[in-house]
Amino acid sequence: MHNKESFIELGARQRAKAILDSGSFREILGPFDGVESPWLEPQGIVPQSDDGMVIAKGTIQGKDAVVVAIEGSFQGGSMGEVSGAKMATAIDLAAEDCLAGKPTIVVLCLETGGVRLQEANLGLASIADIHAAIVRAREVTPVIGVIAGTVGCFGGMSIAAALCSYLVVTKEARLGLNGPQVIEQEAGIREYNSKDKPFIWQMTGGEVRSRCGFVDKLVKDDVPEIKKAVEECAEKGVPEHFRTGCIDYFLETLSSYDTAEQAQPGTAEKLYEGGFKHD
Amino acid sequence: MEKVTLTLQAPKTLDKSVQLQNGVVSSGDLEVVFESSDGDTLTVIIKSSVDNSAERWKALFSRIQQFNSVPAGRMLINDFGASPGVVRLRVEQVLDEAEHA
Repeated sequence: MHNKESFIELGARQRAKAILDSGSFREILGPFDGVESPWLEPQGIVPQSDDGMVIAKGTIQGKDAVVVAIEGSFQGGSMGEVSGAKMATAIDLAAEDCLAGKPTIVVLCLETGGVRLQEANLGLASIADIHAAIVRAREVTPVIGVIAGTVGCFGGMSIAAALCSYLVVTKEARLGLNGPQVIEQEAGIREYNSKDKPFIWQMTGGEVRSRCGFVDKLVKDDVPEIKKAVEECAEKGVPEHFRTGCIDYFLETLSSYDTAEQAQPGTAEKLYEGGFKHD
Repeated sequence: MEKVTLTLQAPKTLDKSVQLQNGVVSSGDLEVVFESSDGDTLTVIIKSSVDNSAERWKALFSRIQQFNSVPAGRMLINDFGASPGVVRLRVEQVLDEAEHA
């Protein structure tokens, strides 16, 4: 019998509420502010009142925080002009608050396939803004990424995930630059079958990403456990080293791999054995 | 995609102003955003991925009106092909929350 409280089953707004201290949730640019994507309707696509992006201020263990949560079930959690600007600005304003002497923890609930193709360059530009905002904010406050699943985190937003100070994932989550269907289309179904779920999760799932040292915490799909993991990351503060700062290690490791050999489940774990650790 | 606007007679005004949101625009679902106001009408603005569905929306809301007394205000519906059953459930959830807000 299930007696756990699933995080994956929650929508973006409920996820933000779950992470913040009870009763502290206050939404910014919510459904009643009427800021929707201006690009979807002309293309015959139904928009959403918050453009699939929930920005919430509140507290985590009494400390000021902003939670930015992507709604994975709206257009695959894709990043458009409005949704992307909401996330980038929220992170930027948190960094400014920190610099002005008002420490603010940043939590990103990433559930996205990357850029919203209908908004093309504007979406890509907003992803670049998000990257820049994370790089700036992580120097002054912990930026904590949470990938719970089941959409996962792909495309340009997988880079955003890698830029975070800390990354929390479940074993249901996936993290990768290209999504499985894209790889299948490019490399062929014999090399990468996107319908072969066990194979896909062995290549990009939360467990293998954890064993490779690409994430900091592997947790169960359970609200209290995810909340606790976020709190622990927040307590650690700004880390001494960032994963994306270890360019030499990653380049050396990657170039030591013989690409003539077909990568299999398990290949990455061996390659990155004893990889990046914060401590 | 189609846009449908309905104006319904709203026999009651809520005691206090409420803002409610329910549902997510995902495959086969929809979101309902409601804001109460003074006056005696409820304006329903529907954006639906299903074309030629104005008559269905009209019929659905007249059905909803038979069982509920709707409050005055504005209701936005962003619909991604939800079945009439799901639409009615979401709308009635909002009406119920408005009642007990």
